[in-house]
Amino acid sequence: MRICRRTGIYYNGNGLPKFSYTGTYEVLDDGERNWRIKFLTSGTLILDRALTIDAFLVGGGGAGEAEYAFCAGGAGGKTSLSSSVAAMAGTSYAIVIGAGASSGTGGTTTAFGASSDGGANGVARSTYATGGSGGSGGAATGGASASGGSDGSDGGDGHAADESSDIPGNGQGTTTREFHESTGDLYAGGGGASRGSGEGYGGAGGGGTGGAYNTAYPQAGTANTGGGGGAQITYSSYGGARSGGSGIVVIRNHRA
Amino acid sequence: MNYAIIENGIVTNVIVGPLPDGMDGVVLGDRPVAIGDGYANGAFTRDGETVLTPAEQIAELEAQNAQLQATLTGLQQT
Repeated sequence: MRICRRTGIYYNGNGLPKFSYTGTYEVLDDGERNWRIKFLTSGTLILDRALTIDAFLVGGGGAGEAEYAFCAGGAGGKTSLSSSVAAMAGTSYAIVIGAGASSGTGGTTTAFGASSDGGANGVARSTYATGGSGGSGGAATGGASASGGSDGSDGGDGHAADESSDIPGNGQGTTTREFHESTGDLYAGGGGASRGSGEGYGGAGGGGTGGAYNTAYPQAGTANTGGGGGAQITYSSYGGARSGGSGIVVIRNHRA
Repeated sequence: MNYAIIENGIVTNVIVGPLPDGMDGVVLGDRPVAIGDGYANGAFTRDGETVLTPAEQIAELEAQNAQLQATLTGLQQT
């Protein structure tokens, strides 16, 4: 696979499309005249010829949130798939990439008439925590550390003494892999939540790790994955919460 | 650079720039604006409070600290 990252006009005679884009993107040559384009920032796309494409969208990741004894990870952004989209030559297509949230819900990603909402933020208060819901759920804890959800699953539960006081976030319940295919790259992992000596890992697919007690700060969701932000209780000297990762749009030539 | 998209004085989306052609937005820098925040007269607000950048938060806390120190000094002198 060959990858080319740039802005401006792109052209390659090997079956790849000629187009202009005002933002940043990557072109991936999958061989046998198959291609993908990953749009990493917002911008305007103009194709030089009509194409039938598939479009995969991921919303921005939600922010983590931390309190003294409770914390919760943000959710990964939701994903959506549009198949067999007729894209016209010479038409300006707005592609909007949802930002990862520094607080609150991640931004919404839109393209080709479709949209994917951002993941919800974790909520932490003095007596409870609730993980964000979205593509994959954010973890929540007032007990042990807990990991974020992955591939559309719910977040982990830290199991506080009062079981109702930490509630993990829900995932979307369907895969968050690219083009919703079993071999696709994984996106939209939920953020982890850390308390005590264990480490609340971020969900695979860009979710931020919750950190490690008194040794490591929580991590943000990975850019262009829609991963949720991690969180660690503020009782730890490395406590706090981090932002979600930005979303992404991926298009490819339509494949049956 | 992130942008806030505003509709009727409310932040409806926060996106990664550059803005697509014909779309309006407000540059955020490191201001932690969230969807649902208010926007009027060039300022973002949440729950009636201005959304501050980290540097502005530090400056505000330092000002409050100085005011408390001055009050404490005054009490010690009386």
